[in-house]
Order: sequence, then C-alpha cells, then structure tokens
Amino acid sequence: MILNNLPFIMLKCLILTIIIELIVAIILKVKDKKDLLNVVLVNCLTNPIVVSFPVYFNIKYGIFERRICLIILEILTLFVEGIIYKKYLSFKKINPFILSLILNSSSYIIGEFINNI
Amino acid sequence: MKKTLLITVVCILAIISLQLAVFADMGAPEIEPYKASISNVNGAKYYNSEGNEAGKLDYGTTITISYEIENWETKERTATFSFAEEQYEFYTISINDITPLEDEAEKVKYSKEDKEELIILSEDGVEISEGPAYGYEKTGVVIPKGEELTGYRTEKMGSAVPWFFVTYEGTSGWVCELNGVIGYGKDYENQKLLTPRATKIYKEADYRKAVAVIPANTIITDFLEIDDWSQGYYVTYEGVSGYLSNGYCAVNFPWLETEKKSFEYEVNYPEVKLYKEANTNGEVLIDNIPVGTKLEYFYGEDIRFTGWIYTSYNNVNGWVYYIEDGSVYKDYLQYANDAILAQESEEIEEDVIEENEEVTENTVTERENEETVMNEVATEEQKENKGSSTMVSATQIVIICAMFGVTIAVTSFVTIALVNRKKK
Repeated sequence: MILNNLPFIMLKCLILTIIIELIVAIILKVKDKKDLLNVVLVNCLTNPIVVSFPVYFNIKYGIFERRICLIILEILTLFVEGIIYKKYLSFKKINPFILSLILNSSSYIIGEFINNI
Repeated sequence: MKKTLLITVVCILAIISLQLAVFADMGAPEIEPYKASISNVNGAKYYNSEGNEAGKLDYGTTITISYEIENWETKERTATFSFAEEQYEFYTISINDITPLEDEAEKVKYSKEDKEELIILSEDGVEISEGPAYGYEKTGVVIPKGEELTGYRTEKMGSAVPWFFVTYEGTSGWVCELNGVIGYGKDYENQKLLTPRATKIYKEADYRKAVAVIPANTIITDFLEIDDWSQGYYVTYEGVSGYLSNGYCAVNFPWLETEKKSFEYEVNYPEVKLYKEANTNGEVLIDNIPVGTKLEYFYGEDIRFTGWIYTSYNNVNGWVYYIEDGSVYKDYLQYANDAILAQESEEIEEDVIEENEEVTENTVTERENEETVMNEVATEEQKENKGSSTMVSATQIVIICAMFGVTIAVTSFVTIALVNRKKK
C-alpha cells in the first residue's frame, strides 16, 4: 500500500460502507428518508476515524497494535451509533443497538468478502 | 418493484466500486507487509528516520517491507522496513533497489523472443528457483554441469541481473547467470578471441586459480559468453576449459566481414611501433609507422582496460598501442573510417581540452564561491521554511488523514444534531 493514497482509500471506504449499510437498512424496512439520512451521517461520523486511526497504529507500531485499536474503535462505534439511532431514528422495529450491530456487521462481512474475492 | 430496482442499481454501483480495491467499514486498510529481495547487484543503501545512511544490504538479501511512500516533490518511492531484532526502528530504501517476492503477481514475465541456448558451467550445477530472485524458494532440482537447455532471458525491475526461465526434467523455474555459472552464445558465428599476450585462464570466474596459460597471438574460437559482471568468457583451449578475463583478450567484429565495412585507424602520432605481442617491453616488429598511415582493425582490446589493436602493416601482423596510459589522454591512432567524422571529433576534443584547461584554472575558486552561496541560500531557505516544509513523512500523512477524519466526524455530528433538531 502506498501511504500517499490513504485519503482516497478513506473516501472509498466511506462510500462503500454507506452504500452497503443503506442497502441493508432498506432491506430491514427502514423507510423514512430522515432515518436513512441519519444512517449516512452516522457513518460519516464514525467511518473516517475507524479507518485512519488504525493505520496510524499500523505504521507506528505494527499489525497487532492496529488490530487492538480497530477492535476498540469498532466497539465504540457500535455504542455511539446505537445511541444516535436510539435518539433520532423513528424506526423502532429493531433495537437501535442491534440495528447498529446488524449494519456494521453487514458492512464488515460484505467488505471482507469483497476484499477476498 | 421500485425497491427491487433501487437495490439492484445500488448493488451494481457497489460492484463497480470494487474495481478500485475498496475496503469497507470493518475492513479498514491493513497495511500488509510483504517480503522483497534486494535486486540491485551492487547492493542497496538504506536510511534511518532522520534520512541518514544507516547501512547497505547485499544483493539477494530478503527484507520485509511494511509500507511504501511517495515523495510528493520528487515522486520517488521508498519502502519502509525494519529488522526483526529492532521491531520499532524503521528504515527506508529505494523502491528501485528491491523486488517483491509475492506469488504470481511479481514473477517477472520473460520474453520468448529473448531466447538463449544455455550450457551449465558450474561444477556444482545450478539449482532452479521458484522465482527470478534469490529470495525465492529453491525447487531442489539441480541442473548438472554440461547440460544444454533453452533459457528465456528476463531482467528484474531495478536490476540488470538477468535470470533465465528454464524447464529441466519437468521442473520449470529460474536460474541466475551470475559468477559465470551459465554460458551461452555457442552459436554465435564468426566471433573469435585473440590473446594479445600470454594469458591465463582460470577455474572460476573470480580469476584466482589458474588452470592453463594460452600463448600470445592465439586465436580462440571455442568460447561462450558469460554474465557481464564476471567480465570475461568461458574458453576451451587444447582441451582445457576455464574463464578468461575480457581485459586480457581482444575480440573481432564479425559484422565487419559480412557488411564489408572498413574499420580503419589512422596513425596521428610519430614513432608508433608495431609489436609482436601487446607488450611495450616485448619484441618490436616495425619501429616507426609513418604518421597518416591507415591501419585496418582486426581485433581490439576492451578500451576500458588498455588500448591495443591487432593490425597489419606492410604485410606484417602485430599489435599497435592505441591509447597512452597515464594522466594525459592521447590517441596514437585515430579512427578514420569517416574523414568528416574524424575531423569533427578532433575539433570536439580540442574544444574539450581547452574547456578543461579553463575549468582547471578557475574551478576551485568558483566552486568554493558557489558552495558558499548555495549554503547561504539553503540556510536562509531553511530559516524561512522552518515548520512549513513540503517534505512529509509517513506518520505526518496519516496524522493529516486522521485529523481530516476527525473534522468530518465533527461536521457530521453537528449535521446530525441540526437535522434532527425538533422544531418548536
């Protein structure tokens, strides 16, 4: 990986995450446009940090430290997104924290699947 | 229907974006280290985090690259690595000095048009590698000495050391020709070597242990080309085979005979002698070849070492000294194949000599002045640009990206609050 491309990688990560989570949200019958907008904004809130911070740990320390950082950030992301969904989403069919878990897991699984193709 | 269509369109867009090797949320880019070997035959220097030279790695050394970074100004790419015993000490090395050892993607393609008929010369044979670099695993298959086979030449990026792709007894892989272990050129027609003086041939391409002496003025037709770094040939003389340094033999140019071009030198210095051997202490056959005499070139020595050509004057064959050794460069002979070209080159040489003389007189003073000025400018620039340099390190790039990410996050947070603000 050429580090100079990191900004573009961050942008691509964000776009794909938003696309995947929107699709999954729609499939889960999140219909309200404002709710979908919140899904987009929440990913803008969390994704850049989740992508860039582990890279710093990767180059500064190593892969192991990078993975620890990533796990911690992802757990925090689940909680932060869950709190925002709980506060602002009109979609109540699924518990907001479980919704956050489903959306993040989907983007993770699909992302890993894509990377390994 | 609309929902299905929307989902389908979004999926297609997602698949298209995959072409750009995108990582999703949880798959934040993991910088995968990869193994690489030093492909610069002269070795490769590496530098510490301050940019100071920290050491040199030999050709073939395998290292693990952590990541690459490109200098925004010079566009030069460097790779960062660390040694196992210094886990958190990172060094940089030029990307041109290394070759990745990843599986299929980095195996250099060979050209089927660049084919050679090889002969294995090494006593121990040559072992086939899985890839065209020393860092690749060996296959365990050894091609024995004397084996003749077809090889396809290739050159690794950043290195001019050619490896040959070969197939032997069902095993395909790569062999390296360094150290004269492989010879080729058996089918080169009409090429001959001539010994300017009594010359030794050696057991190995390190030219240490002599196995035979070839007399002066011996024409050798049974020889093979070897790698450029060994600077020689593999010859066979009276049943004895060995390595002959190209600094001690002269070669002909077969294309001259087929194209019927004259290749003449003109004597432009008085008292040029014709020797029996390429040795100024040896027997003189003709004491003074007149200035202006045209001599035909039959064989010549490598101009990098000494300057002798084998020629003929008044039906007497012998050696003429071409270049005077020492601090002054003088042509005893002048290439006169094209009179105009010869005259032009003379004029150019005279200009160069005059320029050199002028430079010699003024160089020291001017250089000192220039260096002083440059140092002053550099110091002033450093003062002005301190803290605002465009040269960024890997850490700085990532920090900038992380700060950008934080900015986006804060903006998004504010946007969420504004979007979801309840209207009174």
